[in-house]
Amino acid sequence: MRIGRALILIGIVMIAASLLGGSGRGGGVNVRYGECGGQVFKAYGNVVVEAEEFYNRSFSIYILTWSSFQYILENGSLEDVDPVAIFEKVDGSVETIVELSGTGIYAILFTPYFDEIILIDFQVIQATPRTGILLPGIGVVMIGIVVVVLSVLSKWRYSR
Amino acid sequence: MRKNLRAIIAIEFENMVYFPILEGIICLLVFFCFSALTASFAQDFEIITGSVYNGTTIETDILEDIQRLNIQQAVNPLQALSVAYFFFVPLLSTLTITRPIEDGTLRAYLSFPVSRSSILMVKFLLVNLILWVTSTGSWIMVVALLLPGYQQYLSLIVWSLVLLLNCMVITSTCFLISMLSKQSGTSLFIGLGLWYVLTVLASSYNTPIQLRGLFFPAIIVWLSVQYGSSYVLTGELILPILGAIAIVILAYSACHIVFKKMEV
Repeated sequence: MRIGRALILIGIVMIAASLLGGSGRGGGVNVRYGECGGQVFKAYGNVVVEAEEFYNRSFSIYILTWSSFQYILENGSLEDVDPVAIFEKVDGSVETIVELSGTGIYAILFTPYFDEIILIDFQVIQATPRTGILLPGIGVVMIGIVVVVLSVLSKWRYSR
Repeated sequence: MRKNLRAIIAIEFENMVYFPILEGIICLLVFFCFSALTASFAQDFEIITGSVYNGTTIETDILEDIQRLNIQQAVNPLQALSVAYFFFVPLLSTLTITRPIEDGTLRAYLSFPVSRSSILMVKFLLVNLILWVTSTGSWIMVVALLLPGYQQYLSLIVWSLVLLLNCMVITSTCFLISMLSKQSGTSLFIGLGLWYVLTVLASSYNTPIQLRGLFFPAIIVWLSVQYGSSYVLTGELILPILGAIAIVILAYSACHIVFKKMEV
């Protein structure tokens, strides 16, 4: 019974922790045509991506898993990779939610769409709830409820 | 004698960990760990294609940075947990020292044929063990859940011994305060106040590192991880830890003397 109650409380704490506002990480990139720049970041679920080109030039954004990013680094090409999200020909600025499968290391890449240099200011903000913590939290609460119900049932059967 | 000691351990344990005290402590520790570990990190890169393609160098650099940042992230909760102790230790020391004086339980203990030293030792070890086990458990749970490939960080559990030392420093001084005041409210107020002041001092960069590490040994571990393992071998880590051990021994000895002479 007590373990069940403890699990419910811990699960609630995990759900509360998944709602904690995430701090945004970002920076600026200056990229030539045919090259790319960006950031490697850690995420615990979906992220909000905000990007703005200084002179409203067009650019593309690729969000990749760590393994895809490693493949790009090894081969020097964006071909034959399957990005988590692609935003091609973004005109000037974008603000969007990117759905990520869970906790992990991801990379965000910026590249010019036309033959020009782009100057981008961007932010990757952790969206709440952080699914990487929320789902295990719900799981722990469920297990706790089952344990409490089972112990109540066994007590009830014992008392009869 | 051994039977009586076991009875005292059982009573003390039940007094300290009744619902929802233990669950509350675990929940807050887990929350502290989550909030310390989920601070996001990021690493910039630039891929220049063509004749000066630098992919392999970037990969090596990023991997090194990720490894360093992951270790930092794994150690971050240590600092948060040692701050959490500043709330829990005055609370638990009040529960274990002053409350039995106020409700007469201590008088009942003293009627057992068990020495006062043993009673004090039981109380001291229980408070430290409960906090250390729950905090290390919370830490492992959060690291296992949030750090991919967490097995490589399990060696960091050794650092939790510094957390135990941190806990013992605060426990021994809070025990002494509780014994001298003999009142729950007063000892809780003084304990929280004292450790609040010390936390502020420890978090100030103007305070010498040796003094910060003396009352807050976990900060040294955090710094050693941040600035490289060679830091561990320097006096900046060893001296505060030896100083903290000396504080524990001195404060515990003072508790021992006060407890032996204390009128209940």
